[in-house]
Amino acid sequence: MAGFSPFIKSLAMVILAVFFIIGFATVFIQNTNPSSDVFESKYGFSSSAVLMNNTIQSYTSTVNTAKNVLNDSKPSALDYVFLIFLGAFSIPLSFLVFLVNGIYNLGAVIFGMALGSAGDGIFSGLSGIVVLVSGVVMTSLVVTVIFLIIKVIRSGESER
Amino acid sequence: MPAPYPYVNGTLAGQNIMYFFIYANSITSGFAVPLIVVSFFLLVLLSSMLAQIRFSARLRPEVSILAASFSTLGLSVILEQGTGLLNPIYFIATIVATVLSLLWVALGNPD
Repeated sequence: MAGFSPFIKSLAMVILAVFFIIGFATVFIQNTNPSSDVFESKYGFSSSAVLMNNTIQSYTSTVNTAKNVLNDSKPSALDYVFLIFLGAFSIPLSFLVFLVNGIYNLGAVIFGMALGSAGDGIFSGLSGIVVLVSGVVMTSLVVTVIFLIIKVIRSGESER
Repeated sequence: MPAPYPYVNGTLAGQNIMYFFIYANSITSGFAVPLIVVSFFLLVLLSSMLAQIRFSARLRPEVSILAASFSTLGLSVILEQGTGLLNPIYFIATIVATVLSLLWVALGNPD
């Protein structure tokens, strides 16, 4: 491996694929069978599905706010200028909110199984095994990235 | 001598194939449907390995494991539509197998 750039790209692709797989399965089951056994509180799927739906809803409400600001403008010159400004402000704001919540959801969905509920979730039953396995995998990945950085620095290749 | 499990008469097993599986799962105390899932995994795994050897004369077992675990995850998502059909532990196990094999394929040597 020439540098650690292909490694990081592969890792990012894996994280995105895992997010999409788990997110699709969770939201699909929640839409078709909300009383499924998967959504017991100790497995943590329910919280991640609720989190994703909340993100979509907050994005929708922000978009509706922006649309209303643009639609309900009175033809007064000052208000019109101000409302145009407000609309121009809230459209990028909605994308920003969506982006930040999406990054937060990425971690919550991937580690949702490990989170579980506060009472009986963590280190109980299979959630504990998932926590241990993901901890070992993540630790080995971090150690590998550190060794790759050291190798890149020592060999003088600064591929970005 | 009566059978050591409740008969199918009087259950909902005639209504729907999902209820039939739920009946089969209940009289085997939750063993039938995980057996179906494991059989599906092994079937896809072995057929993918044999196809790799046949078509390319080489074998990358991690790709076969990824294909098998991904398709098993699809099957278990379908099976989770019925309540009481597949224990969530098996569902989480298929997710973990998919994630680990994805890591193995993406971060392994591409040779």
